[in-house]
This record gives sequence, structure tokens and C-alpha cells, in this order.
Amino acid sequence: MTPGHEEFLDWACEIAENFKPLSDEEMELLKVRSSEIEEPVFPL
Amino acid sequence: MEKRPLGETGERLLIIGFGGILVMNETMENAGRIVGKAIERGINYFDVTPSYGDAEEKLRPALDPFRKDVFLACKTLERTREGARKELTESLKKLRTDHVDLYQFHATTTHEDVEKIFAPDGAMEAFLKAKKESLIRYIGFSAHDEEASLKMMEMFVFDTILFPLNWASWLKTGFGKKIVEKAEQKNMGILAIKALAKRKLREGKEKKWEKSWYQPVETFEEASLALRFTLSLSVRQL
Repeated sequence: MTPGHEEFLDWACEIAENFKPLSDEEMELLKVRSSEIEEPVFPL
Repeated sequence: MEKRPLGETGERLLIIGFGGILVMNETMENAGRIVGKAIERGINYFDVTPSYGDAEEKLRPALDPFRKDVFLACKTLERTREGARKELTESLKKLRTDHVDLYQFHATTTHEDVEKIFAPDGAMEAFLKAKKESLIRYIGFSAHDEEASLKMMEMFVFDTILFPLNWASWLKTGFGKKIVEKAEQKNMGILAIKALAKRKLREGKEKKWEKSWYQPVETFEEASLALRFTLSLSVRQL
């Protein structure tokens, strides 16, 4: 198996099983980090 | 795990789906193992397309015992009636099933794509015929472009859209907001892809993930935030 696929699947399921929306602080953190990205993937 | 309704289809899908590209170029044994693991975790949405190389052939035997319990989605890059019909027929044969639950126009990128799909003898005619014949249950499309997606949604009442929705592009450029808004207005099922995408690959840099053409987030902490960001949107699944 391509390394990481099974672990990735388990990881994604665990995040989803324990899903809770982002807090205001977490959203702020992502906003700051996104401002530092030079070339986001989209738009292409 | 939470289930969410898929637009107006009446279907309820787990919020994590299985992209068939995962089994591309894998051995049958490995494909069977990862599909089995997905089923074990309760995943009930599987998506595949002929453009994922041998993924249909790899997915089919692994999925066979569970076919009636899963929602199977497939896609075509064909834009003509004849081409789409031929590809659907081949996909059904490779997947050894009498129908797919969702059939999608794959990678609708330009206005020219949209025009071809809806032209006389265009692929939409094949989709509508296939739906009448119960070869497909729902009609959707996938896209990476906002303008083409908005045009598609103006042209037809689609059941679903499969679209890249991630924190990096959404927060940096607003990419995806218009799509979610429009799809919500139309009560479509929104299937998110590329939730972990972060930035374009840098030229000349080593590509770490064989099946990814972009640079994803690099830490579990950021990946967790990324996944939860996309799940916080009104997407039905990713």
C-alpha cells in the first residue's frame, strides 16, 4: 500500500468522529496562517 | 460518525467519503484491505472515474460484497452524448454493477466545457437517458473553477457539486464562497474535495505525495484544523 494511506484514513475518520466546529481562536489562527501563504492552490 | 443529507436526494452520507484514486496502482490485496477498512469505519460513499487509471478495476472486487450498502459515484470527462454513453457503459462493466448512484460531469473547467455538455448531442443527453433507464440515480458535476461551476448551476438543476473547498484558498482569496452560496440556494448536495490543499507545488521541488499535484498541509495539527474548517462549511461530505 502506498505509505500512509491506511493511517490517513484512520486519522480522517477519527477527526470526523470527534468533529466540532472551529472555535473563534482556531479560525483566527487559520486566518493568520492563510495570510502567509504565497500561492494558494485555488484559483488555478 | 455524523451523517448529513445529500441535497434533496434523500440520501444521508457519512461526512468522510472514499476517493477511488486511493486504490489506483495498488495491488488487489492492498485495495481490498483499505476498502475493507473504510467499510469497517462506516464510510458509505465511494467515488471513482476512468481517469483514475485502474481504480475502477481495483475498487470493484473490494467493493463487491458491500455494493448494495454503499453509495457509488462515478464521473466522465466525455462531453458528447456518444462518448459519455460509451464511458458509462464501460464503467458499469468494470465496476460490475447495474447502476451507479451518482454520475458526474468530471472537471468542468471552461465555458466551452459547459457549452459542449449542453449542446445538441452533448453529454447531458446521455445522462438524462441513462437516468430514465435507471443506470444512474442522480446527476452532478465536479469542477475546480468557479465561473464554469456557476454556469453549470444556471443551466440545470443538479443534485450535487464536487468542488475544492479548503481553508487556505477560502480565507486567502474567497475561493469557493460563491459556489457554496449558490449550491445552498439550490439545495444541492455539496461534496468537498482537497480540504487539505495548502499551496501550489514549487517548481523544481520534490513532490512528496505521489497522487497529489499540490502541496497539502504538512502537520497533523494543521491538517486537523483544515479538515474541521471544511466540515464547518455546509458541505455534506469530503
